[in-house]
Amino acid sequence: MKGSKPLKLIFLKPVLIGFSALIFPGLGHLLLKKWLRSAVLAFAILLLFLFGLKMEGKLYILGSDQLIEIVLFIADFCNGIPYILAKYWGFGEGNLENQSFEYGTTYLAVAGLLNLLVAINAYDIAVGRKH
Amino acid sequence: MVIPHFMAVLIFAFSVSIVFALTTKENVREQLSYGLYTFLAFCLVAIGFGWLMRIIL
Repeated sequence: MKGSKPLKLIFLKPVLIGFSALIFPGLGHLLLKKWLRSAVLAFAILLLFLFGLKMEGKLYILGSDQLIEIVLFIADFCNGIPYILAKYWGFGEGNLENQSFEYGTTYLAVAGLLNLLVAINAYDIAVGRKH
Repeated sequence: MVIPHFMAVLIFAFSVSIVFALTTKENVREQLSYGLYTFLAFCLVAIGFGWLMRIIL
């Protein structure tokens, strides 16, 4: 029993880091004290996300019965807090009349997928598979 | 905001190549060379497909 708490923490820490990386881009690497990598990753993902919003791309919500929209929602939702804030402030409604609408929508989805990749990378570093 | 197609490719390639380089390579030199390689590859493929579509269509 004496050694069970640290053992639990050893298994819990990578999961928490991976999850926090999903909450906000770069947060996982920040918790791993990789400051520069965290800042550069956050910059790259947020740049793509903000351009997506500026180009009036669409952020999908859950509730559609079309598979492609569910997939796009999952990709968008992987942006974490930026997704929630953008939705809360009324961005990401999508404007089909804008020529860059398709690019914007793609940017938003890809930003989420990149954040997922970064979260997996943070988990791998926390586990010790990478450094 | 409307941006030209090639500008859209550049922004996309820039962000994606940074993330690819930082998540797949370990040291800084490898990250820089792989990031540059991915960025150029994205741009060249976009230009190549652009010309291909111009020839075919």
